[in-house]
Amino acid sequence: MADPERLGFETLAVHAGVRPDPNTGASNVPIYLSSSYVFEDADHAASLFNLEIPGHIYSRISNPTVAAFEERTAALEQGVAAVATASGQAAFAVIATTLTEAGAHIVASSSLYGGTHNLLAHTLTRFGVDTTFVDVRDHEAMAAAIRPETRFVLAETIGNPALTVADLPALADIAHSAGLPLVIDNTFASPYLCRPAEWGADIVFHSATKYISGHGSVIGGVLVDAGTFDWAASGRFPRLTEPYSPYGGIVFADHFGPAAFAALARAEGVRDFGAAMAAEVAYRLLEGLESLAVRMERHSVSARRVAEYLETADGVASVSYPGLDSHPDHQLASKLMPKGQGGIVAFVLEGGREAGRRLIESLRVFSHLANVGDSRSLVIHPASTTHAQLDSEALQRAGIDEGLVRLSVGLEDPDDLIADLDRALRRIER
Amino acid sequence: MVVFVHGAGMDHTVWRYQARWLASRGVGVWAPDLPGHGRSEGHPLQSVEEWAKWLATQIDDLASPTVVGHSMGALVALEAAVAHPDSMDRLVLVGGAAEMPVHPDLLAAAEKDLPRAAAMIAEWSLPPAHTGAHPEPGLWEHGGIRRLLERSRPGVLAADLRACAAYDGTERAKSCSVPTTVVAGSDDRMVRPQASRRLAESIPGARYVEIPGVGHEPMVQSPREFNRLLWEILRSDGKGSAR
Repeated sequence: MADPERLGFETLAVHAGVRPDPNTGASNVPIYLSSSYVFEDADHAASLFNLEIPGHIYSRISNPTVAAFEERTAALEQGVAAVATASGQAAFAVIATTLTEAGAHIVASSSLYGGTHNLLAHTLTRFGVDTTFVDVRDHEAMAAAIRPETRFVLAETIGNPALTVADLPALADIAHSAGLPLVIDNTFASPYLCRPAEWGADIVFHSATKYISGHGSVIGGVLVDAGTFDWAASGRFPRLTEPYSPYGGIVFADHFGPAAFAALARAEGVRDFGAAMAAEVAYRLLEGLESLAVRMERHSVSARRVAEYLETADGVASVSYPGLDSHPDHQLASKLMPKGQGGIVAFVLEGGREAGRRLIESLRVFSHLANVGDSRSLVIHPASTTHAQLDSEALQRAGIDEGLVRLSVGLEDPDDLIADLDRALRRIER
Repeated sequence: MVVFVHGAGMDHTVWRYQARWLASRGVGVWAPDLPGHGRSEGHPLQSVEEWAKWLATQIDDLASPTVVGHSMGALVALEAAVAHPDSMDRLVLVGGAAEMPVHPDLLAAAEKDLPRAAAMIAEWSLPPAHTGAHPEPGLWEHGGIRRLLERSRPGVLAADLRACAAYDGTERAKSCSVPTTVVAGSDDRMVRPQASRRLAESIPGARYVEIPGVGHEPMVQSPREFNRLLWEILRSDGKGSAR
């Protein structure tokens, strides 16, 4: 039975964040194409700039259409506030720079999106922020990697590239025991299949480009503050708990309470680095959220069928899909994602690098490109594309099998997808 | 000088759009976390009368402050105004009524299942279907109210709600001599605006202001309009200036 005190996911996905426009009665949120917002008087302007009262100043910092997307995403993730960004990469960059300073340290799962890994391993190190990468299934090693200067623990709900599922309650315990927030990339699961805040995550982010958009049309990101972390008790985040001089000595944790992190991420991170989301993009993402539930159910059902087919197919050495009994995290995936385990399937071809290349070239329905979460089914063979510059040994070090193929199962007829794979696999055999 | 008194299970952050705004305009502000609430130590008091006595003691040294109370804080401020009329210059009662009976389901949840109680209060505090469009960009206030209440220490929300339920200010209101404004949100389902209006009608000379389209926390949900009203009240004649 539905809880009368809480609207269901599908209802929030359609309604949250939007009220009929007071001026026109428009029931859908208008696309506010305005770079800036008129102040009522000098006093109003001053109070907005000093964060005394809420409101829009300039669309790099906030925009009414983008705010509707943010509010809806916060509702769907069971958080208190969200901040949208130009991309998922920007969302994580804002999180990382908001929580760290030179000399800080991050503990991250080694099952990470390549873009996140690059930022942590190569770019942030130049600014004195180091990261220790740990096998996300090795909880003792995760805990042991935490140092006095560690600022957060990072993992993906469903991790790249092997579709490792993070044990969110266990990771939350590890992070919280050390007085640290748990940051979770929930892109592959989407808020429909998993809400990490319900399992102890304190900050959640998405590449909204993927399932939230759902149609491979726009680039966007969003971070959500679950409102659960006690910044004052942690004592490691003075910019949240001590007077912040650029805004007249405001103490974010005192002033904004549970939404303190989101407030600082916007007032400093998005303001300073400028990776703002455009209003048109937010509008498309709002539409994406409205159909997220039905799409994720279909993605999950079709992906499971494709994975089950691949388990029986000739030429396939192994299949990884969290919805399969054979997946090492299957039980955990069923607990964290009871409504389905998503649309991403990985498998390894017996024929290695050459078989991967031939498969890709033989597929007709699957599009060969570097994305996931599209309505179209997508395929990528890392050894011949994203990681083509690595030799066999280097690939092995990166944990990528030469025959690894990743599918993002779309919304087509799953029979057509299976037939496409079947035909392509037979061509490799020939 | 303005003293802000928050409601049951909450803390000073409900006054975030007033405190710094007033301070920037040269008005002294005291917005405490009540004992046992937020980051204040101690234990919650057990009745509105005890809270009012505590408040009167705290503001004794202040030169005729304006006291603004929200929900339970409105009852505390009203009782303090009646019991200690010289302790304040003006009174502003937000989301309050002379009697604030607490739904038995809410009281039971506050005692046994805090997240559920928090969700009930969030639901009843916000306009129907709480579909949002909050003035703070990106804030999902339903989640904000829930997290704030979930942070309260065990037993605090229940103790506060019991204190609210036990208090009857109907007769007390009639003897309130402090210039009073009662502020209600038109869509408040925690304390119905009709009950706030009746409270205003029973306080001699009180003014009633209803802010349209907002629920139980007009100072959070409609800060511009609330602050304009508060500024107007601060510039009006108080008890001291009338004397």
